[in-house]
Amino acid sequence: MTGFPPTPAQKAGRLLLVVFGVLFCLFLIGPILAFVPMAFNDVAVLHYPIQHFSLRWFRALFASSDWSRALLNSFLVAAGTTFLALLIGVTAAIGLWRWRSAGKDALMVLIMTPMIVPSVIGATSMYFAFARVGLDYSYVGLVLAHCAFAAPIVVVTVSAALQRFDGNLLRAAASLGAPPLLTFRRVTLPLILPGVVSGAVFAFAISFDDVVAALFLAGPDQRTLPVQMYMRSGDLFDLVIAAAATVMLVIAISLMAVLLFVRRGDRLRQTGAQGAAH
Amino acid sequence: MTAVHADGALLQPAEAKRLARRLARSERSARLSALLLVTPLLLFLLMVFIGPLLMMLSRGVRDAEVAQALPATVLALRNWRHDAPIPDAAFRALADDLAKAHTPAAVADAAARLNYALPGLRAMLMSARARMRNLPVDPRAFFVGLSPRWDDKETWSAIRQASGPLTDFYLLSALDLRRSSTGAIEAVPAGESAFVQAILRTFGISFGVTALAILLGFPFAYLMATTGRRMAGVMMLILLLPFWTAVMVRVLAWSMLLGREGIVNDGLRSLGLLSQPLDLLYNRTAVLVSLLHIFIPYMVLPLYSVMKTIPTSQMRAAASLGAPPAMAFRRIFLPQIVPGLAAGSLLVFIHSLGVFVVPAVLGGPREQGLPVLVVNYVTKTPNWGLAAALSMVLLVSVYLLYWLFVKLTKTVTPSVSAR
Repeated sequence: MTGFPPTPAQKAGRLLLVVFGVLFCLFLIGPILAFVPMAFNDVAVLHYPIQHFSLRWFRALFASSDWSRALLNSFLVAAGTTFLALLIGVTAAIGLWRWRSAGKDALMVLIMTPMIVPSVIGATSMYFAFARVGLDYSYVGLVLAHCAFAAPIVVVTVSAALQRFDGNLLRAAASLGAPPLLTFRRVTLPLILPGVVSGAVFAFAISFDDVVAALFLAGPDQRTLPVQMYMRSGDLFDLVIAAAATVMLVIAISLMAVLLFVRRGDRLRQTGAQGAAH
Repeated sequence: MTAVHADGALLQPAEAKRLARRLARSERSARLSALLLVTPLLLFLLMVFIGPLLMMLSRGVRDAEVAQALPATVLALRNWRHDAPIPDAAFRALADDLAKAHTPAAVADAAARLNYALPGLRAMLMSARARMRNLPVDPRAFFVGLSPRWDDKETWSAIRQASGPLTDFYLLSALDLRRSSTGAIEAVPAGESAFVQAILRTFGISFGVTALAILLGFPFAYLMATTGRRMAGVMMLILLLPFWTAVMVRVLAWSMLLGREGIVNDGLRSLGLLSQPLDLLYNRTAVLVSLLHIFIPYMVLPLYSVMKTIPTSQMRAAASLGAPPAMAFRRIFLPQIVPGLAAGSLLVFIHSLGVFVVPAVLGGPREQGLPVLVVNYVTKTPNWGLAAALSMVLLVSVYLLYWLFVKLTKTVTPSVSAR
């Protein structure tokens, strides 16, 4: 590299930039890092340093029927959402990939609707419509609503994976006598799996994250963890909230880890294929 | 159409025709199978999301309650104009309609609707219905005897204007406008207007968040793009961890941090720097900071991905040609990152417009924008027409920005690839 030696002004600028970067990283994770340890505080005071550590808030979380029910509900609804969103999302992504007629962009814009419409408007609309057919305050209604928000992102991630998929493989499989479903299971699915897994992770996260739709569509029996936190947000000395937040953070980190793992595997496979050294 | 054999010989016409037909059939079936695969999702979205959305929005332009509860009155007023005297037929029709309404519930919706347009009309209508034992001989005297306001043309104008089937009443209300009793559009008196202010506030907050995101996201993305691979990876993780954390967790983290009894106040007090706690919550700053915290990845990720494609040699080349750093930055660097900047800004702006939880939990009354109003008109003081009209205002703004996003970035996905 034959660059010019940096001038003192440039060095100072760089230093300033690095200092800014460190401060900004603090801004990004500081609030969460300050919040989570409070869940292990023995007394209900937001005070540092923590004098005595205990797990009392976690015990309270799992002992309280409201909170443990909310946790269970969140998992149930997120699992249902993921399943349904994958089912219709992957199917649609394959259909879009094979789409040869005009109007694909318009179709995509239509499918993106739930991602563009503010969640408040979507949630009130579904509340309005679901109440008429008795689907409000039910698990089914909640899963359907979350799936509307989650299915488009599955289409996006799977479509991205399909872009790198070689259609000739399908012809090869067909010429060897494989029926379409077998081809999907043995050829297509393994190759687009990273996109499918990313889609599943996103779908799960969207459902697990949602407050607004659940606020409208969940009855007392379907209340999810974020809704329970929203309801209790006025009382910050009930550190069960912090314990619940810690649980949610652990789930977020696990989801992120799955995604990073999938992406890394995907990248390795690609470079392996390019190098032909496999 | 001529088809050619691999060796160059022309096909027999009959054979070529058959081949063309089979090709067309197979293309048709490929199209059909693509359509069949997309159909479940389309049907699902139409039934679960788009249909309900249109249904709800239609409440903002429909006026069915009055025509349903007071059909004869609506008919009698059809040809009445404001400059003419109130026809006797209208009084008689109203008496008829009210006599047929055996329970208060039968006119409750219409009364509520009329009360939006003219406060007090609900009570007038409900008490007239309650006193309507048998049809009065002189309906006009009966109504005017109950309330002199029944002699006002304004009252009957309100009924006439609410007789449907379509109305611009809610949409005008959402923009702080109304129709006078003569039918002309006029501004709502200054004291009663509230919605334009809320619209401007919504845009103001989104604009502020976007400006902050550019101001702080730009140097952060630049640092990420110019630092080493490993460091960039760590910064990416730090950027993505809050992004993956549920919004509710982040919002509560800020409220635990900034509340009167929160971590910051407690820390400052135990250090002896404060005697009275600072009010850090329920204001514009708290909302802006928290929104920035939530939406900053939408700015940094697109910026980072365009910055990474600009080779550092370009800047060195500019310098070697004598351009001072500021000029090289402005003429070489900036033009190339405009797409990322536009994408990031629009994403932050669009998402900030629709946010509900953050202002609801961390904001004061002056931070409550359109989404909070929509929720209030659905839950606290139910008025579906107004909720739908306010939603339309929000939706039109969001879709205009989305249209700009599609035009500028050539993608239809309103998200960032790496979340």
